[in-house]
Amino acid sequence: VRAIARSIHAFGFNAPILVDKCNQIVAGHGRYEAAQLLGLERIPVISLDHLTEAQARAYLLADNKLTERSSWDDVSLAIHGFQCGYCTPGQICSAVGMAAELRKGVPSYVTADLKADAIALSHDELRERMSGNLCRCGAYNGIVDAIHGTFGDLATPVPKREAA
Amino acid sequence: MNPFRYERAADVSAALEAGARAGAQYLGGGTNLVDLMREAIEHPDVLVDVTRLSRDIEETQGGLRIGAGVKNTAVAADRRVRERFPLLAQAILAGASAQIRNMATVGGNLLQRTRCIYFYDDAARCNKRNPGESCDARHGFNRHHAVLGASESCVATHPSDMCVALAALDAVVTVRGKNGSRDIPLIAFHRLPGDTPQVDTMLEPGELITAVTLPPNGIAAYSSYRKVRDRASYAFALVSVAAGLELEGGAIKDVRIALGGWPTSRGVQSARGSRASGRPGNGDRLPSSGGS
Repeated sequence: VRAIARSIHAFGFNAPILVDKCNQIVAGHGRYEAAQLLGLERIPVISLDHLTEAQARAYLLADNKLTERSSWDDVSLAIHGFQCGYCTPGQICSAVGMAAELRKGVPSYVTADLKADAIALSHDELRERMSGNLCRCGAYNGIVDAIHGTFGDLATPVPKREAA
Repeated sequence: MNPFRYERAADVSAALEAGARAGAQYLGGGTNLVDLMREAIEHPDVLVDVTRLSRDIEETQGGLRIGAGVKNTAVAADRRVRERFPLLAQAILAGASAQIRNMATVGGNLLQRTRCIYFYDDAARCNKRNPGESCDARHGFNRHHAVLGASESCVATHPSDMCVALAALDAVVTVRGKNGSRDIPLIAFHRLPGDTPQVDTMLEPGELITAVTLPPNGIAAYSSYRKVRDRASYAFALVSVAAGLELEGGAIKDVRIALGGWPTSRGVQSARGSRASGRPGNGDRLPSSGGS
């Protein structure tokens, strides 16, 4: 939730929450909690009151409820961390593995001090460590930002890129 | 892909027995062998998985003995390697990608094929793939090919970064076969192509690498691995160098230089006891040590 909050703080609330006709949240529980964390009073909502209960459930399945539990997905969506999506599962798996290696202090080619105990997730470290994952769309800048947004607590702050 | 059998060896003796059969090949991380099987260039009948064997890094007198089954990442992340053999950690981290280093073993790194893109392309002629056929690489797109150590029949390189550092560090490869164990210096482990480029190493059929031993060295404080490549990451070297200097009281005691981008990693120069030794290490240009 904190990662989502960071993303909303940095990039704005760009994906509305979906509610059913009883105003129960259908999709966006994480974003709702993040909004509370940030003390936001108003957030964009789309009401699915044109759907029956069964249709809403089907939509929820299609929208894949599981991904709603992953901070990666919200950050990734908000930052446009992919284009066609073909490489996305691999990017996610590698990012999770990379973060675990960083926590263990495994060095990389760009780690200046091989004897260091703690290594920050700098821009260069992230790019080097993720270099085994190719993106045929060339969406690398967004992918790098999405990983920073998700695993930012491992990082020393990097200068934020200007929003396009 | 040809059908093949997969077996996992319980210990070195069982591996040797399984690996002695015709058509058997040892399987490490598979990062090169499986790739070559997919391309129908290697056709083993049996894969003998040896990744569960020899997985420790042990202290020797001042050095380290690295089991052949240790993953590349584990070597580079090992505290002792990072502090006493930083050249090796650097070189490993310069190679491949994180995913490949997590799979690849030390033994498998040594035994990845000496190769070029024409070896992978079965529409091209290749003396390594089909001995005696001819070589389309020599006059083809040869930016990645060997300048030093190449022959009329083959210009492929051994792309390992790790091996270049091992060459500079005087590493010794321990192998086991049906006649027992023997040690091969790393710089003599890979063969120059000559007119039999299909044979990459000095290993006898069925022999299995069990360990690579690093003797103590004095170059840890002044050593570096430099790699020139077409991308900033995840690319083979066009050329690379592992270099180290041992100083004693301001004088150069030892100089070690190994070159990558050869068919072998034996482009190594040691200036121990030569004219370079004993000179002041105060920024003077080193005299050439000849033979390079």
